[in-house]
Amino acid sequence: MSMKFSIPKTWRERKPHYLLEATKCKNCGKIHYPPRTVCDKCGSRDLERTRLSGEGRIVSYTVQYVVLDGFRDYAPIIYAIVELKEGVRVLAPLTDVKPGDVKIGLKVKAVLRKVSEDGKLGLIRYAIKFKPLEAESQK
Amino acid sequence: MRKVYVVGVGFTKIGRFFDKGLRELFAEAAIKALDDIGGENVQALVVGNMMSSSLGEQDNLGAVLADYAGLGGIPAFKVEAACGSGGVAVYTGYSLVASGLFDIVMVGGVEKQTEYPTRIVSKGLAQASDAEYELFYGISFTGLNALVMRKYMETYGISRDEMSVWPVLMHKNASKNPYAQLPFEVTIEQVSNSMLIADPIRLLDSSPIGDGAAALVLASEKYARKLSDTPVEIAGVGLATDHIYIAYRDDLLKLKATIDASKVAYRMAKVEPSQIDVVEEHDAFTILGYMNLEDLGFSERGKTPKEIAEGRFHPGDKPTVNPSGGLKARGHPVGATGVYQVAEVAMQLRGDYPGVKVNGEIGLAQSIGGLGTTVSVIILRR
Amino acid sequence: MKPVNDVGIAGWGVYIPKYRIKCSEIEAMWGFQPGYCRSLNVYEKAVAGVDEDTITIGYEAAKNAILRAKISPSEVGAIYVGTESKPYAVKPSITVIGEALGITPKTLGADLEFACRAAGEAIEASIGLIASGMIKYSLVIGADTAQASPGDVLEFTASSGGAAYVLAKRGDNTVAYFEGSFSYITDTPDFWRRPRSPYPYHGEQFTGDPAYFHHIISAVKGLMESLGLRSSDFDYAVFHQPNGRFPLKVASKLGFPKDKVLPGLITPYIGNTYNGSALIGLAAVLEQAKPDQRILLASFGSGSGSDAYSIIVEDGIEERVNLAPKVKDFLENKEYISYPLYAKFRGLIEKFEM
Repeated sequence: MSMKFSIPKTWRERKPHYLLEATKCKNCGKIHYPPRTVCDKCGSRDLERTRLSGEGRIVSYTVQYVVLDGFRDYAPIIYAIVELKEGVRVLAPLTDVKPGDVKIGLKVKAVLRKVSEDGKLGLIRYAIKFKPLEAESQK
Repeated sequence: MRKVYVVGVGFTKIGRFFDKGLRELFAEAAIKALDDIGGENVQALVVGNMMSSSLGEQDNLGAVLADYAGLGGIPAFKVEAACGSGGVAVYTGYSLVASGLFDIVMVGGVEKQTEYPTRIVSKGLAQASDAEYELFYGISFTGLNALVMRKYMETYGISRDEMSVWPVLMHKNASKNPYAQLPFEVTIEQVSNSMLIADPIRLLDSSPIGDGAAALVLASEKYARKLSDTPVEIAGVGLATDHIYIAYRDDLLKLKATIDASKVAYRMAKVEPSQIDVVEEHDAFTILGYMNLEDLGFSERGKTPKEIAEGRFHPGDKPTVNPSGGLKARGHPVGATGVYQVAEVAMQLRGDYPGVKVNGEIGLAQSIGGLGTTVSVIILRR
Repeated sequence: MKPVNDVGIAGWGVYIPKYRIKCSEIEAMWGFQPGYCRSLNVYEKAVAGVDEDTITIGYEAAKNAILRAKISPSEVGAIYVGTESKPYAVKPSITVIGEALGITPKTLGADLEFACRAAGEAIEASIGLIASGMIKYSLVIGADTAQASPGDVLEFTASSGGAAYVLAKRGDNTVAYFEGSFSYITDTPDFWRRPRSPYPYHGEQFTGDPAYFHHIISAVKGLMESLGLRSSDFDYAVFHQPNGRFPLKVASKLGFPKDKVLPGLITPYIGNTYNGSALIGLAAVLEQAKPDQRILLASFGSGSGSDAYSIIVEDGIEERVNLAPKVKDFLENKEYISYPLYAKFRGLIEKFEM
């Protein structure tokens, strides 16, 4: 049996990956995603956990055809940088959308999806991806 | 701090060398560099390398390479900063000599990429990104750069064909470089219509996967003249880092680490960008070719493609950029690239570079690890 | 069965993947006689995307149910998913869903299995927990990415989707309540899947009379007897819908006219979502029902069993309808895919580990 995915790592990171848990600086208010131990803006170590809205707009995107080992099933994969309502930017794949329908500025929301599997027997990784908001919400 | 000089250089051709491993490649470059200083002994070895661990299953690389290059027993260690490993190795070697710890230090760089199919090599390269929040999702290094390229084109209103002038210039320069991996010319049409890798990045926007090794010998002022008739001074060094998670950065269209590292290096060398005669910069992708020139202070944001189309930065201009052909066409043996660049600039300044020649006194080499996560800038003076 | 304290529905939500394959394409692929799927009254079926499974489908449906219930996830005291397509054979799906919704850790939770009626069992268990005062809210999910061997008749109907319900004590934020329920189970082997087998076996004709019809009719008759009701007392009837034909047939046997069944008959457009099947049908009915109307819900699970419920709609339901996407929205938002893409999405193409 080969095991490529670290079990502790998959477990440890679940909240940022499942529900966009970030850290917020109690001193200056800056929100950090991924979560941090020390605020990079003011140096404070007094941070609290917070959950991001998951709604935002595409800042930039790419359609990746040459995929890494283990990702062929999902190809081509559209990756985007999304700026959430809170002003925090997140990088994640888009799902349920065709390359031709993506553009900068498109409104998206976070959904939980399968990201990859450690073969047929190992762990399945789940995390947020983004999908376009319904057409009527795009304005 | 003591002055430090490049006194010896050596590098291999870059390519897919299925018959050579890390040891053979490095020994070839090291022997050339040692011959360049008349066979004198070096006192320590610093090696830049990214993937000996992930693709080569070899840690403890400094000792292995010192042994197999015939330098056995000397202090030796590997320096790793992803694709910027080579530049950081030079930075480290410089520090060892400048501090007075050693007088003669070899700085090497070596990468062996062609051991596995592309999907596995790409994964190794993508380890330059954030393992838990970028690589986790399977985004490749090309994918990350593509996010920046799209934003650049959209922000400045630059067309596909306008972007394509960079690879055309790089291939033209490389066509005269006997060490280049891709020594042939290409046209704008070929670049714009080459295969999509991660839209908008196409095959001919990308540096190739290749193997190679380079070596420098650095010496203190006391030894420089003894070891070389044409020593080249390392006049300024700068190193800076930035957030690894690219979405965390305020501005995708600059690499802050390049700006920060170059400011330090310019100040230390007491030069302005306008005084630089030759540049070797880290154009792993077309987009970086342009952004690097902007971040280093050679051109205005969003105007570089147009300037290059009009002849700026071509051979004969000041500065001449990437006369080697750059990462795009000379090749990009990852952890060795930063060492190639310094060796090439040193040869330009001492007058024995074998490809496109630049007649000048001051040169600059910029090496990037990750997408601007670690950047080193090294300024050389004849 | 009737608890001392009435229990009702505070919120409902569904999720149907956007991908559809036309049954005529499956028909042609395997050389079935043209018109076969029309005889089942199924025209197309929903297909989970390449990155979807029971966990992600259940999560989406549950999110919509919580939106309609207007509660905080941390108020939920029990979470259940009824499914026969768990991504892990051993390791609960519900913990991933619960964690991703922000419900964990202070909650009960389990994956339940009883073919297509596991979620029905979860509703019964939740009614007990809420009526007894042990918990305030329960979240029940029925979700599946149903398996069918390529070329088997099951392939015309086995589809992907799910529904979720937030249950609460009647009057405590509810918009409908259970007037009574009746469960009926026997050992009737009409359909099964052994461990390590990727696809189920089934008795084809045998899944009808001794299984589907006998159990549903027994449960519904038991319910009506215990409540003293007749079919004419109901405004809607929603049955488990393995195809588009069985629910209409069982309705006519029980004396329900077609127009009371059609509002909740969704299978012709999305296929059989197994644990989602009857519950998506109920959601479609709730999205058009008026206060004081009475709804019959009857689940079915092979093996076999059925739960029948009488549900009374309460005031305030209309204002919950638009708080989350409706069944109608999911039916309209669709993209047709080819058989090869369907085969890739459903993992029907065996690849070597490379």
